[in-house]
Amino acid sequence: MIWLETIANGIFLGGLYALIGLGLGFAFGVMRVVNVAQGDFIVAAAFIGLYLAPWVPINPILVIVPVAVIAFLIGIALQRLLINRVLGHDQIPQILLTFGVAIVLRNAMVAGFGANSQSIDVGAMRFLGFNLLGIRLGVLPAVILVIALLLFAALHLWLHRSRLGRLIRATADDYQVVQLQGVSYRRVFAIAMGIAMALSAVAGVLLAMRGSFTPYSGADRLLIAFEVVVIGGLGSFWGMFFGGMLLGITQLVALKLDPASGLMYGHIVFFIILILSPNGLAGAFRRVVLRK
Amino acid sequence: MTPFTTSHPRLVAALAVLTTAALVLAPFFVREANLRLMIEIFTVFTFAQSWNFLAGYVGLMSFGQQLFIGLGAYFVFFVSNTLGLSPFLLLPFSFVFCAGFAALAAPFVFRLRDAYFAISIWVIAEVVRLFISQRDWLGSVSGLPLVATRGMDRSFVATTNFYFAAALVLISVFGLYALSMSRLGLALSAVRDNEGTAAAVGINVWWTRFFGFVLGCGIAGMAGATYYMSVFHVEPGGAFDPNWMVVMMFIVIIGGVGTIEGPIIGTAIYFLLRGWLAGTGNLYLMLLGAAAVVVMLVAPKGIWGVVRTRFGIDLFGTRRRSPVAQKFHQGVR
Repeated sequence: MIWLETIANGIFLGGLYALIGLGLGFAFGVMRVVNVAQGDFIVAAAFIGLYLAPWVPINPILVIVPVAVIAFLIGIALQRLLINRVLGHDQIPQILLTFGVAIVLRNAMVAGFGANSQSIDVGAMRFLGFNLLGIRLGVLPAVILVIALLLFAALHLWLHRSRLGRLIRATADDYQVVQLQGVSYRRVFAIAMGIAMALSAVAGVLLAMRGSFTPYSGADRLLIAFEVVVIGGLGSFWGMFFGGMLLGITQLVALKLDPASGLMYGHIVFFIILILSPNGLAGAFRRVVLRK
Repeated sequence: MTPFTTSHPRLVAALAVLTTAALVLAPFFVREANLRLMIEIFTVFTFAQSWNFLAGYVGLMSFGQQLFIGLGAYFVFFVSNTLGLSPFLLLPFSFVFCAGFAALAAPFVFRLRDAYFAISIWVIAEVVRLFISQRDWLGSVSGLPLVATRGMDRSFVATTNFYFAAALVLISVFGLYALSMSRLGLALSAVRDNEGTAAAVGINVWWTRFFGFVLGCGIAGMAGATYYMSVFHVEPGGAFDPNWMVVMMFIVIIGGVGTIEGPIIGTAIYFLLRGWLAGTGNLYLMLLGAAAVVVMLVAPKGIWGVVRTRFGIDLFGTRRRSPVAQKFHQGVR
């Protein structure tokens, strides 16, 4: 029973991990840009959430809305002011640029907020639970999983149904052809980065409600995001979702068996997947189920 | 030497002789405390140069170079303490150990490209750090002391460490120069610039890249071992600290990626800045990050890149001109 509970909690955590990966994976899928500062922006979003949460009406969890808006604007600014200037065939400049941004952001947060561990207070909700098939589960983790699922579904629908979503997919396929149709791909890139940052920011705030964070948490967050994207199969939406689940379950089961292990077993599972299937879960699915 | 390069082999050879002589004589004239500082500068320079070699010459950018710093140090400390061997004897084998580790990791990490490759090495570094932190026989979080040097004469230890550090500097400057002038160096830059074309002219892309990766990681490991041998203690939090990566990237980016001279300038600036801003903690790291951002926006080729184009100085220039371009240049003159 304790294992069932652990796995259920792993699934809850995994949904959140998937959401952390979604921002990074979306930016990579559309722009081939890997924002190395994503982990530190996730932590920055958690700090914004920490200060806004007491002012939010109805329920503190709704703080994700203003934080997402702020992150969207920061994402547009980041892309327009910095990343768009170093775009090119060579990926190294943009990676180094965002790495520099990450260092500045992390140390600015340490200087501004101190290195103490913090958590966003969601009031009584944190301690509420419910029974499902005889196991006791938390309300907050379940709500967080639902939010993650909704965001995955909403992004999927929006990309496939809306005009702007179509434009983003077209830009991802061939930005030069999009340019020929009279659309500035740089503007599309800025919007895409805004969305990626908003998704990551929501994930960061939710993570800070479930557990705690310090200004140094960015590195771990980035590694999780990166593993989710690679396990999923670089750009596969639902691959990422199951990749997150796998990491979440692994981490909680491993912590039960070896409490001091941290993220180590998650990292090891990542390498096992990489050895077994270089293009992640999506690649394995194509090979085994669809036999392509 | 081929006439098609922009370099001055005789000048470089003379410089190599002079530098070697100066480094051999240095311990006789320099005080022990300064010798230690020089060991630190030399090893940090070698870290940076190993990363520069991977990013700028092999075309493989890694975010986990601290992995090899820690591995090299732990190899020497653990084997020396367990078997009672002299750490100086083991130092060259730290190269072998780290190169071997890189060779085993390569088939897996080479499946990923660019940033994903870079971060996958960081993931390995985290796994190794977490693994060591939990093993009592590896000293867990508090780390390992170096037992063998306790009974030794302090100035002997400092001098021997200095010579190893000096050898690393010579390898990472003149060895890199010799390598980039060789056929293999040409193959490496061809693979870096355009894999497809390199393969089309008969270069084995995978093995060329593999060789570069293994070499760069081995050098970083040996430098890591030398660095920690001069501080006599290694612990996982420090040896596998991602901030090593910040230092290496700062030095290389500021100086100029893919040049031999760049990291020399970068290392000088880094140690000057560190001296000035000692005690300011985060401000200093923020400044390193901000400088990297500004350089990427304004002059992506770094300080040496600007100097080279502005003044036409190219000391270690191993860029090759095609015979056609050569004629064209002569014609213009």
